[in-house]
Amino acid sequence: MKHHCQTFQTRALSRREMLRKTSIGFGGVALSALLNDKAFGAAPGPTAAGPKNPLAPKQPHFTPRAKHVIFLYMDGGPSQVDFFDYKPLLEKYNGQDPRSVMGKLEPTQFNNIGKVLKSPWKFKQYGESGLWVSDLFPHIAELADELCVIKSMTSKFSEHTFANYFLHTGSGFQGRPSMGAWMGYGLGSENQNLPGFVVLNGGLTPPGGLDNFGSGFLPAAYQGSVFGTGSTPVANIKRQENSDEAQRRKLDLVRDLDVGQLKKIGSVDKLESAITNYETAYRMQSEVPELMDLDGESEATKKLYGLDAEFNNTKTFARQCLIARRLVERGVRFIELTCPGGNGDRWDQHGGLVEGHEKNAKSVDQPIAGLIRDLKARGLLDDTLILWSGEFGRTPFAQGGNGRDHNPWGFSNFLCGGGIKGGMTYGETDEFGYKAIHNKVEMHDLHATMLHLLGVDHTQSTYRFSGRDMRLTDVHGHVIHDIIA
Amino acid sequence: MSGLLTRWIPAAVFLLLFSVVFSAETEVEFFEKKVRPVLAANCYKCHSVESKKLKGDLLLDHIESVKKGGDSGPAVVPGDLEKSLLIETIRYKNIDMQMPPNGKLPDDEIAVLEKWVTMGAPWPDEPVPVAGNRESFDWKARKAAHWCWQPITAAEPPAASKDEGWDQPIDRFIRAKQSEKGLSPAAAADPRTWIRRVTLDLTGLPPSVADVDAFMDDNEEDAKERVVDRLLASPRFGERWARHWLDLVRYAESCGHEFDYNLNGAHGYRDYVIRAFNANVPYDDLLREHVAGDLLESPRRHPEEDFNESVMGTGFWFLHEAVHAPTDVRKDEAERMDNQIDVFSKTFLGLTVSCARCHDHKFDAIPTSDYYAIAGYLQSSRMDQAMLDPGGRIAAAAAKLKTLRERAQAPQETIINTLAAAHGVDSWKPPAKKEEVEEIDLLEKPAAADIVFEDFESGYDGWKVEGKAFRDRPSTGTEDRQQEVKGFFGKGLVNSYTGEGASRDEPIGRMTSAAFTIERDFVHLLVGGGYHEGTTCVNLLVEGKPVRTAVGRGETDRELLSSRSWNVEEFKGRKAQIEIVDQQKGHWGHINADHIVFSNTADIKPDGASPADEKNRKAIEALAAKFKVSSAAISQVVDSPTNDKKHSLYVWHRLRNAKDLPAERERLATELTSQEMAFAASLEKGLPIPLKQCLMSGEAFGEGPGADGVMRSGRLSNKLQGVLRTPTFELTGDVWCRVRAQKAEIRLIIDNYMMQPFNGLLFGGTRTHNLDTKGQWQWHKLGSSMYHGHRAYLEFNDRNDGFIEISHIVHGARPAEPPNPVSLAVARDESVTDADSLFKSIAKALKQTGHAADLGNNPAIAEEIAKLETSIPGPRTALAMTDGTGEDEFVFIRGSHKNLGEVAPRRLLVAIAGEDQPSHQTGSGRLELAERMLDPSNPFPARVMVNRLWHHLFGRGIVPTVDDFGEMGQPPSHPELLDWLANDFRRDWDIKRALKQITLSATYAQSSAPSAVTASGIDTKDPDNVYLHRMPIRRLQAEAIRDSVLAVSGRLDTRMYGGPVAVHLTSFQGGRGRPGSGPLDGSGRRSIYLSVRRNFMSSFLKTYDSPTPFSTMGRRSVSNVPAQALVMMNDPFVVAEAKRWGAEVAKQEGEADAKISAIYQRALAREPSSVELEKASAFVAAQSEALGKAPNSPEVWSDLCHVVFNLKEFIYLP
Repeated sequence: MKHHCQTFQTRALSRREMLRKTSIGFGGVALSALLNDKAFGAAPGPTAAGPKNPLAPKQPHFTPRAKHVIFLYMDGGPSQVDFFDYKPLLEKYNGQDPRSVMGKLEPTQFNNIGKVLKSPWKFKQYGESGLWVSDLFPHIAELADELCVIKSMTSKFSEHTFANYFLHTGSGFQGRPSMGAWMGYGLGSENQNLPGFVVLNGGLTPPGGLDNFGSGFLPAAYQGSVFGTGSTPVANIKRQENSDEAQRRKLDLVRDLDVGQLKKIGSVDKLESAITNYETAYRMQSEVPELMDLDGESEATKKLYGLDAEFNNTKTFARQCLIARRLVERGVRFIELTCPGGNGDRWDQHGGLVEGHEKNAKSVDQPIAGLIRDLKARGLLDDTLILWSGEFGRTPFAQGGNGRDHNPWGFSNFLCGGGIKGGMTYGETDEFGYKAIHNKVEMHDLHATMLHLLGVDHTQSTYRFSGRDMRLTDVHGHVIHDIIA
Repeated sequence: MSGLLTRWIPAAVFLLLFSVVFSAETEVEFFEKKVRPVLAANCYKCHSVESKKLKGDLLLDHIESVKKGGDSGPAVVPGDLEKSLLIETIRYKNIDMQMPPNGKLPDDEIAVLEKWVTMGAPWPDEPVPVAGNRESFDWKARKAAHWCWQPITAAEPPAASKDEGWDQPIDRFIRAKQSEKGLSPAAAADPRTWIRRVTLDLTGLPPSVADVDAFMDDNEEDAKERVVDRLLASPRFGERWARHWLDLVRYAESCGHEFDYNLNGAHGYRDYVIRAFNANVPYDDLLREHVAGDLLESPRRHPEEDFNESVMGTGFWFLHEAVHAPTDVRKDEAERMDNQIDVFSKTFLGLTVSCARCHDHKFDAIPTSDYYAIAGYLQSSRMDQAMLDPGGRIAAAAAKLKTLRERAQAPQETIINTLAAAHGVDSWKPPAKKEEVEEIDLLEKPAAADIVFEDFESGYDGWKVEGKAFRDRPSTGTEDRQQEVKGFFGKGLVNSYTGEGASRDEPIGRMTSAAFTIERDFVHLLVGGGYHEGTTCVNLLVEGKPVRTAVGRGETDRELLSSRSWNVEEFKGRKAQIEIVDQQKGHWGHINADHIVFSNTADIKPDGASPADEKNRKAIEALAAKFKVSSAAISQVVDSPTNDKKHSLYVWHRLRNAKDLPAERERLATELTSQEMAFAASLEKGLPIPLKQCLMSGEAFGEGPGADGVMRSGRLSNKLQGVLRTPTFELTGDVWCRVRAQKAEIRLIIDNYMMQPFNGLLFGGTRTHNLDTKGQWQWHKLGSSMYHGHRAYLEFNDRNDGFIEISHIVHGARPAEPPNPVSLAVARDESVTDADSLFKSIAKALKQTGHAADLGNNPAIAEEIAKLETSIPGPRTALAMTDGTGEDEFVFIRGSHKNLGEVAPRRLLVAIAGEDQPSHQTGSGRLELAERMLDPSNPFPARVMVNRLWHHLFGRGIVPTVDDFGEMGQPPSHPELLDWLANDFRRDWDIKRALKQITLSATYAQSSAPSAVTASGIDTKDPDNVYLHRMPIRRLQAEAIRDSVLAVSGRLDTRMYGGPVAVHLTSFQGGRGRPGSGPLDGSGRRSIYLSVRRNFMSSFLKTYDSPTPFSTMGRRSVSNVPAQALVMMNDPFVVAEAKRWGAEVAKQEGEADAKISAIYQRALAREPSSVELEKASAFVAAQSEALGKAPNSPEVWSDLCHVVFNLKEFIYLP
């Protein structure tokens, strides 16, 4: 059951239309006809009254530039001044007391302020755009003309968990829907056999836990499904019976008995949906393992991503990136990748900056470059928005001797594909790379822009909860039109 | 004066100059050309009358508005750059106030605005632009306009309907509305459907087959009533309804966030709620207990265990998330309070007060000052682990101890006798004869006590360790592949047999002690292991050179540590070190050493007691018998240091042998008086925190400070526990506490931040735990310069068998040491002229300063006290709130704690209780708050609670938005019914009675199929069944689904209460703070007892919408997704329970058809239809054949049982 990318479903039949067509009501024959029609249940989304399939595709507010998002989550906070935000002044003041050079410093997480610390890596300009990239990202650097680096990102929080929730959900607190959930809520999913929001877990669960991928007050259907990288990537996807037939017989009886009851009770939307869910679940049992099976990929493709790399974590992340492309092909709306474990620590180098950042960079550099090239070669990059971001950046001065502390006042991330202008930077930090001073971008702005590229007006995509209409962007957010192609 | 002038003159001249240089015309020109364009281009989108949305209530389009300013105050003070907020924000120096928001203005534009302000902010004379339709907030108008604020009306039920059985008030309301809408009620549900419905609704479990059969056979009129009564009386009822309540208070057992730290005591609150629902605690009491259960005059007590139940209700305040190491702790506190206010107001009032945090509520009659008025109650309260006293046993013991202590200390004679005995003088009369005293050669040359120099029990502190042989810590005994190491003391010793594999003797090294002065005649030590002179040995170095050495024995049993002694008299007074050497590789290339002791006696016994000690012990016992006092007390006097001025017996040592006692006493008096004055002066420099105003909890501190002003938690017994908290103060410097303590904790709580015990990051210096001052008074410092300016209080914790005594708390510089009060009293006592009067004076002073117990205990009573102490139970602790210092909170302008507005006096919402509420005189005022909430004029508590009950029974509240009755919520479908129910409910606030009334209604008894009359029209008349023209079909809640599986499979374990059962975690649930995974079936316990760790929730329950515990969730979402099918199909838990049930079915007697019928009855409370029976039989046959198993095999039945778990009917209530 291979999927064909870019094959979008025709407008779905509403249940009522379907019933009219089948005219005989909701007998067993009609039901099985419905069950074989993947469009069943596709109706206006959950804002309308009544239990409808929450993942049915929905009309965007305007023509979208992107249909999918791949969020490369750089857990722990990569250092902006060591990747994209080149600051020669740090070399000049290296080793001096930052308080005398940079003035008043904001409170830091560990309150252990060291000296001004220049980047240990060399910076070069790449591509026609002349984007500055450090030696940490040799592969990504070659794609400079595809990237839009935002140098003026800010966060409101200097602690991991707050900042993670803020990046993921637009609020520093637990219990809000993740951006992937909001996008599923706003747009539905193109594939009814896979979740609309998939998290490919490289090994590191971010501080704050799975609630970074939660659906908060939105229905559970929108929550991120965390996939491991093994052959059984998600809980309960594997049948417990010895054979397909043994399970099928059970499910046939379940359906028979359920339909019999339904005839007695009369047509009830929620029971009908629950019955069809069984067929979807049954298909997911084969769909998901098939997704994870990379045997059909060519050697050249595998090599492109770095599946043959010597460094184990490069292989892990390469596999995640390749599966991300396969998820895009299958119509999954929002895909998030978390970092591989085993690099000593996440991108959170309070000490040992050189070793830690080098290992983390090596894990993701080639796979990300491979992903961008592969998507481009397959014509998928135009429809796929890639976001590379940590929850905050790091201080341009040292923590202790050889680390950097958290810095939410100004940091860099990049966007690529999906309607984004390549080969540009947006915004600036001060001369030390410490605080954003021009075209400051808040998380809400990033979220608003991402929703915009997906065809969603962030002020219109709301959910009534707790006495008001909740949004991913709360009451904030401006679309950054300057970075849209 | 002159200083002031010199500062002012240039400024004045400066202004003068400008007014000369710029004529009004040029000023205006400058404004129009330079200033207005900058303002218009960068500010007017948000700060002019044209703004779509005005930000910060600030207009910058006329000078009057500019000077008036917005929420944060005037934007410009003409002529004053530093006071002009506009300038501060555009300079971008203050991270919290930066404008324009998207980026700093170019430097030349900033300069223009600075110049303009310096000029005096000239503005042309022009009319004030007309503001659009900016409304001012009028809570009275809003209150008048929305239904929820109106008083509960005395609604009368409509006339009885003609339909049979629809004559109860509830039914009459419902029926009337149906008629109005042209609807007819559905037929009554089949009795089996009804009993399954009501059983699951009231207990969360399916009815047993016997219960169903009994009901079917019961033809009495009150059969239903008896079913409902039975269910309401079942302990299962409390477990079901407590879970509903826990949804409101975001119940969890961990703090979430990065490490998901434990939320101590949470499950005690869960059990309290279960008990409260089972005991049918009236709802007004439940509310009181939640808001102010700690303050009730006569709290409710547990019926059997007899402890304060009421206080436990307050635990709900603290079930919020908590973070460690917040970089802005005041902001963190603001967030915690926000969550508390949110939960409090939604749960009890059905209002979203939290929406008024940053501005007046956008829709409801709730001004921002209401939010901060409630915040004041939280600001005035504190988190506590309350100490409960089941059966009052601790209090009873304390009372008894008090009497015993008084009696024990009564005989002043005893103290005098003890001192006299220790003195051992012949001048003392009676009873000792001179020769007897001489025979007891006790005090003439007191043997200096041995000094244990090192016993390697706690690391290598003070030792310099080189090489790898000694690792970085002492060994704990026999190492891997070593012969048994014996003969060492305690747990730790030096043992250098530390290599890897075959070369365990290979590592070499050397360790050297800190330098010491030789003061005793002998060094004793234990040595074993290698016997190589010079390379495996212990050496004594004097001034760096080895002068004594010891090696292992070189005999059999070489790993046995044996005693060595060095006579070191010749080196007395010289600097020395001990050196332990392992420079030998291979054969016996290691050394063992332990227990290095300095002594004045030549030989040493294995237990460390010298023969001289033994002799002394006997002598003391003889004296004790003679003087009729305790030998322990004599020892204490004898061993008291002779030259420690802080010690209570210093005065005894100093005066007892003085040649001219009165003269020596006067000298001492002079010394101590000057010390006392220095001490008093040092206290004046700091801000003393009065101990009398501290708040006590637990029994330990008794009635407060003693006669000497000291607070003592060990006053009656170290076994008693207690906590002492200071009033709240502003932290401006270090805090010094003069304490004497053992196993105690002192915490400086800043802005109510309580997480230091989990993680000290950013809070270094604010907590000391396991404090042991070794019997000495000392000044103990707490503080952190990071938090100067914050609100704080101190907490002194004695939560074990230690104690803490506090004499002074001072804020500022380190105070001087006070004189010892015993010494001071005796030195000033002019009656002291000889030994006799000295002893009397000391005895009196010891008693007055609270030290008498140390010496004078009556041995018989001491024994009685010791016996009593063993029977004192530890307190039972409960997560709770306790009062702090009453303080009103400021309004935070636009929600920012850095931008304070006016004080908001504590009170209930103005739209409920008016503007003139009496202010609170003492404490937090929470009890008054609770009473104001329960005032009959407040319609919310009754309406909100009955609506919740209704919601849980019909799947939809009369007000569907159960947590929000405000403008953004939905209006009631049956307002008169809601008011009738509320009125009826608050007659007695009886939850069970209200539930009984609803479940016995005809409305609740309807079938879920619409009536024939209605069916054709429902699509237009009532598509969402708002008017209850039939019973809605509802999916069971997550917990009820899991509990039903357990009940049906036969695994359910109905044990109640206690610590949570760990959740069975899948490999997909990872992250920091991951707890151990629990049993697959949760030990068969009901779901309410499964642990609720914020970052590691049960994935089974989550799939069925168990809520994320972050705020009040009175209405869960009900999702319907394939993941739920996957759980029932493939979750190993469901499969295992199907197997358990199938195995049982296989064992039962009977034909296949009877078994199928039994399966249906057990799971669905009904018989299968003939079609169902036929299909199930066919399945059994087919599955039996396919599996190659007999039709009656457990495998085959398990498969059918699994099918039944997967039927929609199993989880949907028709």
